[in-house]
This record gives sequence, structure tokens and C-alpha cells, in this order.
Amino acid sequence: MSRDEYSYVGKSIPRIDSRSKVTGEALFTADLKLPRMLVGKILRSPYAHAKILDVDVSKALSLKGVHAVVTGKDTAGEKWGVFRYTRDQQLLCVDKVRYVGDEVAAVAAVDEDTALEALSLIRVDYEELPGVFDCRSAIEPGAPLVHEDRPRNINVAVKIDVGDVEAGFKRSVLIREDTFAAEEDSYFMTENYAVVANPHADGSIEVWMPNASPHTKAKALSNALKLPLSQVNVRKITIGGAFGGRSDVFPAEFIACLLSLKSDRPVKLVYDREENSIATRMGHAMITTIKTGVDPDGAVLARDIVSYLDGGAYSSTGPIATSVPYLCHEQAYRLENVRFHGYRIYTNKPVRGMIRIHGRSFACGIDTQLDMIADELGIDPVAIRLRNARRPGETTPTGSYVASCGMVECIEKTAEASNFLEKREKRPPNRGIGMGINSVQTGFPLGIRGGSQAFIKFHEDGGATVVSGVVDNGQGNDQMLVQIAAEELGVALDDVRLISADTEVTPTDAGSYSMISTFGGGAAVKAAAEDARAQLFEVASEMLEADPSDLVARNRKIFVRGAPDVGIPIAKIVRKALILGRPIMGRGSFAPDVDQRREWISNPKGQLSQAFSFGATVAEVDVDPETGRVQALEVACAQDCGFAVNPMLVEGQFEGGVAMGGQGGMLGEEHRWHQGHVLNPSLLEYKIPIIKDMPAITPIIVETIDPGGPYGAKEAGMSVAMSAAQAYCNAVGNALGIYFNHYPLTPERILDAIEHKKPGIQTAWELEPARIIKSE
Amino acid sequence: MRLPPFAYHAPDTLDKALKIKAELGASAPILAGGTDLLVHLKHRLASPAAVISLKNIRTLKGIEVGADSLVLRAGTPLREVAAHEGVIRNFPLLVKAVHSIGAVGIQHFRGTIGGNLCLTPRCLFYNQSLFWRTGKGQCHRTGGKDCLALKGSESCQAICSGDTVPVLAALSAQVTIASAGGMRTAPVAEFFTGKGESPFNMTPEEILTEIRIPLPWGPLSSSYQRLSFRSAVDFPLINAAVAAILDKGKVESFRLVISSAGPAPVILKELESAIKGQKPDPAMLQPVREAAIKAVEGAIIENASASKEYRVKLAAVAAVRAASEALGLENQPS
Repeated sequence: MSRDEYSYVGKSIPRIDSRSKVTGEALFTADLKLPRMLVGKILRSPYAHAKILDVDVSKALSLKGVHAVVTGKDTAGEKWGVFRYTRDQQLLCVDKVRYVGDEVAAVAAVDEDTALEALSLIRVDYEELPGVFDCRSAIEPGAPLVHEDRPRNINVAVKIDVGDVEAGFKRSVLIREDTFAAEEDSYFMTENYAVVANPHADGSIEVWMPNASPHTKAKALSNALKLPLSQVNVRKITIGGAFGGRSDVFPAEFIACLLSLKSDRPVKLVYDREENSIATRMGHAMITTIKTGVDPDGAVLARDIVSYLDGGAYSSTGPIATSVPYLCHEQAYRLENVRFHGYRIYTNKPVRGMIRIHGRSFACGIDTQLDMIADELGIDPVAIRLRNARRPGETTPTGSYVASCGMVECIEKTAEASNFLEKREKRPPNRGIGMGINSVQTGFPLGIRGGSQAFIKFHEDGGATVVSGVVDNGQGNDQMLVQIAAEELGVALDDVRLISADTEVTPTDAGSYSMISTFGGGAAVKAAAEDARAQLFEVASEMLEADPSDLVARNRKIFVRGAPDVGIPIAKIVRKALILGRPIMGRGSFAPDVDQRREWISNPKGQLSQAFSFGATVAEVDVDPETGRVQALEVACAQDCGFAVNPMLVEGQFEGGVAMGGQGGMLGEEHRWHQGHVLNPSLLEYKIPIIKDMPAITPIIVETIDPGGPYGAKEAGMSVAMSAAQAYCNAVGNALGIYFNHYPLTPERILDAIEHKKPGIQTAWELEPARIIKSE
Repeated sequence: MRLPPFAYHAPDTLDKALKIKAELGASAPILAGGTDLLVHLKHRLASPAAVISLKNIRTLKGIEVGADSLVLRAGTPLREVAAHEGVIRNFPLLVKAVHSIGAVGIQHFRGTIGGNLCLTPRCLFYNQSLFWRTGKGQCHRTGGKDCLALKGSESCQAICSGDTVPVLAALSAQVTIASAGGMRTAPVAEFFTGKGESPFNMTPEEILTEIRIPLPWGPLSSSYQRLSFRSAVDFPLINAAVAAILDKGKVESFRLVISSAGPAPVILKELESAIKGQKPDPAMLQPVREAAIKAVEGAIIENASASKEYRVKLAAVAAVRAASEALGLENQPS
């Protein structure tokens, strides 16, 4: 069907939750108030690395108004890890603390002042230990160990080796090896993390928190609390942003539950901004050494990559985080011979997890080096990308078939919209233009939780309630589901009620963290709606004396195709179905066609995702050569999202991606450190972009209609977010004639590079390469 | 984050406020717009017994243009300063400075001119939460004997970060300070002690009541330059102001002040006599650059969101740009 034939999908329709958010009526976790609710507070380690000798909570316990105190003793050292083999984070520290912010004890009291006073009464005896604060010193033999059982502080080692890399280099006419580094970045979602736990007399507990998968949170809590999964009910709540930072499970929800079970009262735990920065997740710092060999036309013949990721104190999503930057790159570019060694290294710093602009040093390294190669060969940046860009029908090095791919179209359309080649040729001093490209997965192999299911019931007035496990953490998933349901059922948007992301009621779903919500959850709702519609058609066909296959559901009516005037209202059919004893109950499911044997470390091959998105960004910037400050002028960004279910929302994702990946991710966002202390945990000192500094953005939606996605849709927005940094980086580089290799490009780094500008085609700074770590 | 408990006074006359201040002294800080104080309280950088709000004192608000000076009462909201016709006409650089403070919300709803002048000096190791500081030990300002940013420093080197500070100093403004015992005035330049732990030349019993800017005695040519990461929200990484009188093609007076370097604004005095009486000339900018670097090198330490080295470079850029604009040399090669 073409876009024009749809009623709701493919249309820019304001979100169902816009009004409540704009008026402030939307309730977030921190807004919840329950009778008898207590305030929870966490005591955190002030040291980066220390032994816990003793925790004395007696004074806190005897303070009036304190209802519960918990420490590691209450948890029996229970640990969390995304994978069975990465369970290394104690939910409350027992023997040792590993970063400034590690959870040591917690209290629940009648109000915040009492809870804070109780925290101050807890005495912890520490024995400070020397710490490690960067990858290189952490892997030195003899360095202090963050986890005693992990030699050289290596948490995760991913190895991928495809084709014959050495032979590829032998055939190459030009080989470059360069090293790129990026500092830690953060999310700074509008909403600080918060949890409310409410225990019930029947032994169950209900929990609210911002999340990217209620079912994952419930499963982890069920394991840790030793409660049946059906008794841990994670509820739906408005969520103020995720960006990858809500994907994981945190000690906070476990602690809130423990406090509430111990006090037999609801407990609310709300993080302040500093806690949200240090004690949820942040992005990895990363060093990447890339060696690339090309033929005379710039086609990549071989590539060898080694990455060090500073993982902080615990594993979190380590195996995924270590792999994803590489995987995005192998999807975006054709490669026959490629090798990747990725090491995630423990340090005594906050825990790093998934982030929407994952692996800045990796992606910028690839694209910056490509520009360097292009310059050496006398090819323009557009041509060398087109030469190497992924095409549909191909298979990635690790074995994913790419069914739909608009990479070439994205490159061409952004180049054209920005007038790239002409602007690069004729540019005023200190002005530059640059391009970045990337690709992102639509879903990961997630085993039993990889699919999504949905139910639909009808009300007697013809309205429908959709039940889906998909969570909306800001991107508009709720709106997406409602548009799809209304489209398929032939009812108005206002007729559709949505019950979602509540583990007691809604069926399982893959969560929003692997970019599969539309592809998976949307497809399940579409299937459920098709099922319900088929049931409606059965009943209607008898009433209309027509074949069900000739019927159409539209405008709240069912009619024979071509005869909309003699249709029957859906409400009437729903009631008739009840009388006939055949009530309309739609159900649908979707499971992505991925290789479930694929594993991040032990078996990194096979179909990773059923679909992949592709994107390109072009940025034009002006650099002040005296201060190093960059003014972004214009950005054009294109992404192949398969099909835009709601173009306005997709464009919003593109714009957000440019802000987070380019303006913030490349120009200012980094954490600064003093030993294990984050110097800038606040919104004031961590430089997220402000609207005043944003460039004009031209979003370009490319649709390739993926054969597996609902209406052809797949991941929408992240390929822009993950190509914007490269565009900004290469634009600044183009303005100054410098190839930058240490990110983000703060004014300070830019000025330093200007002052130490080197001749020829080489990176701005000589960084020590990341090398393969030989196991002992 | 929670505020600590404190007694709250909101007297309706200055006399009443001064009387409370005479009794409570340092244990009762002044609350004007609160944009600085409340954050300090939440971070437990102060846990005072009481807070004295000035919001009900009408005589502390308003702007008057007299025969020889413009008077800004200390509690005047920033938006009124920037919108005042007398300020716009006489001191465009002050308008620019006020528009650089925080964001529109701060300028419009909260901040006061006196509060901006009395902004407590900032340091990356000081302006942190109680939790953050717990693991770091104490500094000169939190009851310790050393500086966390510069080991061995004898006093606190935190950064005087008000946007209006260099402007008011360049305009040779005077502050009026009241206590129960009476009033006194002092030049803005002398209002700052140069020590972060006790940054202002005020006793704990005193309250800043007004800022008096002499009206220019000749054609004022001025500039305010501030450099920061983002174009709003951020405190300046460095700022500089120039106030010059240019008459008949000659510089009759010249004052360049750099701030956001150390605990006090830095007046580049030696430039004043060198430039006075001369015709504006691009050749003047190199001495400005050198003087700026020399002046701030001793004042800047590693305690901000950019390195010392970078901030020194920025100081030279801000000083040259300010001088260049004020002297009308902007489009001439330096």
C-alpha cells in the first residue's frame, strides 16, 4: 500500500502524551504519593576503592522516624549482571567498594530530613585501597585489581576475525594506522532516576521506575528478592528520557524493594542529579586503533581494529557495549577482511553501559581515517563513502543478511541537501563541512525475551483497548502503537486505549533498548489488530452478506470495498459478536528472525538483527581560531528508517540525535575527573547543548520498506545520532585542515591542535595505540 | 536536594535588616535572588542559623539617574537594570553583561544586581555536594588548611564569576555598604579582597545597599567580552570589560578589567597611562595582550571547567577583543 492509502500510519500526528507533558499533568515516578509512604536514601562510598571493615547502623536504627535500614548483610551478597557470566555487581556492597558512589547502606524514614540524618548516623569503617582510573594503567601487570578474580582488570574480551586480514593488507596500495580516543559521556535525561516500591499483603510487590524494559526489571528483581516473577509487578509510569541509560538494572530498585519489604510500607527513592550521573550508568571512555588498507579507488581491503573501553567498576552490558561500535561499523561499510579485538577494562569509576551515541572514538575514528585516506588518494569524502557503503542484499562480515538498506541514498541525499562538494571546495577561512555515516541494529538476539505479544479487546461502543509490553521512555512508542492499532482496526485514534509496560497485565516484550519497539512491538500490535479485524469481518460478512476478504475497516465502519456508504458501525458489530457468543479478542505476536545461537563473546556470528537502519549526517561549522569555539551552522541528516510510522516523531528523533551526538557529543560533552571523582556531575558543568547553540537542521527521511517490519518500518533515529559526531568532527577538521583524534572537540582541544598543527595527513595528536592484550 | 533547616527573616526595612545582621552576623547570610545562596545551602557549603531575605525592603530596589551618577539599588532585579533607559543610554556594556548572566529565567525572575556583584567565588572542588566533598577532605573555605585545587596555596583561589564585576570595576563604580553603625562607600575594585574564603571587604554585620556608577565625563566607548562553553547558562571562563573616553580621536581615559580569573577582578593599571592621550592604534593591542597574560598568569589556577593554560589564552583574547572594540580597532589588523 502507498502512504496515501493509510489513515494513520505514515502521518505526522501529535502524540497522545503531548498534552499531559506540556501541561505538567504527566506523573513521573517521583510524583507518586502513596499512603504511609516512606522516603528512602542511599549511603554511598566516598572512596573510589576501599575495603569495608565494618558498617554500624545501630544509631541510625534508633533514630525516631526510621523504619528500616539495610546493608550488604541483608542481601547475602546478591549480585546483578546482564549475563550469567557477568554477575559482578553486589546490590549492596559487602566486602569492598569499587567506585565513588557505590551503594553501602540505605534507610527508609518518615521524611527526607530524617532519612538524611539517619544516613549521617551510619558509621562505615573503610580501608582505602589504591585505585585504577584509566584503561592503560589498569591493564599494567601489578596494577590494583578492581575484581580480584579478573587478572589485568580485563572484564570482557571480544574477538572477531573474518576473512584474511593480512592478505588484504598485502593487496593494499595504501595502509594507515591511527589511534582515536574519546572521554566518558553521559545522558543527562531530564528525569532523575527514581523508584517507588509498594509491598502488598499477598506477598507481591509493585514497583515504578523509569525503565527501558519493565519485564527485564521484574525478572532481575524476582531473582534477587527470591519472589515468583508473577509477584513482582513493574508498573507503567511516564518516563523522562532514557538514551540507553535506563536499559540496565540498578541496585536502586532492589534497595527500594528491600526497604519496603522490611518496613512493610511503600518506599520512594529519588536520586538527585549527582546520583543520576554517577550511580546509574554513563558512556564508556574509549581508545581505538584502526589500521585500514585500501585499493587505489579507496575500497577498503582490510581493517584491523583494537579498542579499549573503560568500563568502570562493574560489567553492566559489557559484552554488548564492547561489540556494538564495531557491529554498527561492519553494517555501514562493506568489509571482507576485518579483525576486531575489543577489551572492556575495569577501573574504579562509575559503571558504564549502553548509550545512544555509543563509541564516539570508534565511529569518528573510522570516518576520520576514511577522510584521511580519501585525501591521500585525491578522492572526495562522498565518493569514498559511496565506494564502501553497504548495499541491500549483502551480508555483514559476522553473517547478518541485510534485507533493506538505504545507505547510498542517505549519503547522496545529505550531500545534495547540504551542497557538500561545492561547499567543501569553496569555503571561507575557518569554515568547514564534514560527513559521517553509520548503521544501527533493530533488535538483538535476546532469547526468550526477544519477541513481543499483544492483545486487543473491544468495548461495546466500538472503542478498543490494546495491551502491549512495549515501554515508551520518551521516543513516542505509545503513539506508534495507537497509530498502528487505529490503522488496522479502522477506528479513530481517540477510540484506542493503550495499556502497556505493566508486567502484571501486559505480555512480554523485548524492551526499547535494542531499537526494536516498532519492528517487534509494533508488529505484534499490528498482528493482534489484524486478528481482531478478521473476527470483526467474520461477523460483519454475515450482516453484510459479503465475503470477508472483500471487507474494509475504516472510519469506525466496516463496509464492502468500494461501498463505504452502506457500512456497519464497528460498535454494532462488536455488540452483535457478544450476542453471538463470539466476542472480538485480538491477539498477535512477533519474534524476530535472528540467530539465537549468536552470542556476544562465545559466538559472534549469525543473524544479529532482522533489520538494520542506515544514516548519514553532514554538518557545516564555523570555528573561532582564537578560542577554539565552534558554531554549528547547518546540519543535514538522513536515515533509512524503513518506513516512518509518524514522520514528525522520526524527525524529532533525528533532531535529538544531532543535538546529542553532534552538538553535545562532539563539541562539549565529557566527564572530567580528579582521581575517581567526577568533577562535573551537574547540569551546569557537564556541557549538554542548549537550544540557543543548535544549528538549523534539515531532516531527510529515507524509506526502503523493509520486508520484515510493520509497513516496512525499522529502527528510526539512532543512525543519525551515531553519525552526527563524525560529521561535526570532520567539519571542524575540514575548517582547520586538521584530523582530530581526541574527542570531544572542546574549544581547548581545538585550540591546542591549532597551535600544534602538523604538516601533511596525520592525526592532531600522537596517541599511544591500543594493542592486542596477550593473555598470560 | 534538601535545604538545611534555618530561621527565616524577611524584614521590611533596611534598619530592621541591619539590626538582625548586627545580632546574627555571619550566621545569617543575606538572601537576595537566591540563585547562589540556595545552591550553597543545598550543597551544605553553608548551614546558617538564619537567612535574611531582602525581598520586602522596597528601598533596596530601583534605579536613579542623578546629576553625576547612576545609582543601582542592590536588590534591583537584573531585568530592570537591562531594561532601564538610563542604563541603556549610558552604559551599554552593563546591559550586555546582564544579558549574559545565567539564562533568561535567572535574569527575569530571580537575579539581582547586588547579588551578581556578591556572587561567591567558584571552584570546581568547592561547588560540589556534601557527598562529593566527603571523600576529598576540607579546603580553606570548608574549615581546612589547604587548597584542593592548588596544594600549598595559602588562601582560596576560587573564581570571581559575576558578569557585571569587570564592567562595574571598569566604570569605576562605588559600592555603598550599610551597617547598624552607618554607611560607607568603597570603589568596586576595592570591594574584593582577593581571598576566596572571605572574598568581599565587608564585615559580617554589613549589607551592600547600592552601586553608584559615575556618569561618563566624555564620550564613553566601551566593550564587554565574555567567553564560555555555551552561549547561555554557563559562568564565564573569562570576561573582560573596557571603559574608555574617546574624544576628538584621542583616548582621554582607558580602563581594562579582566575577571573570572581569580578571586578578584584584575585591573590592568599600567595600560591606563600608556594608552591615555594616544590616538587609537592597532599597535596598542599587542601590549594589551601581553599585559593581560601577565596579569592573569598569577591569578588563574587549575580549578575551573577548562585548564589554566587555556583560560590564560582566553584572557588575552577577551582583553584584546574588549580593547579592540572600545578603541574602534575591530576591523583593523593588529
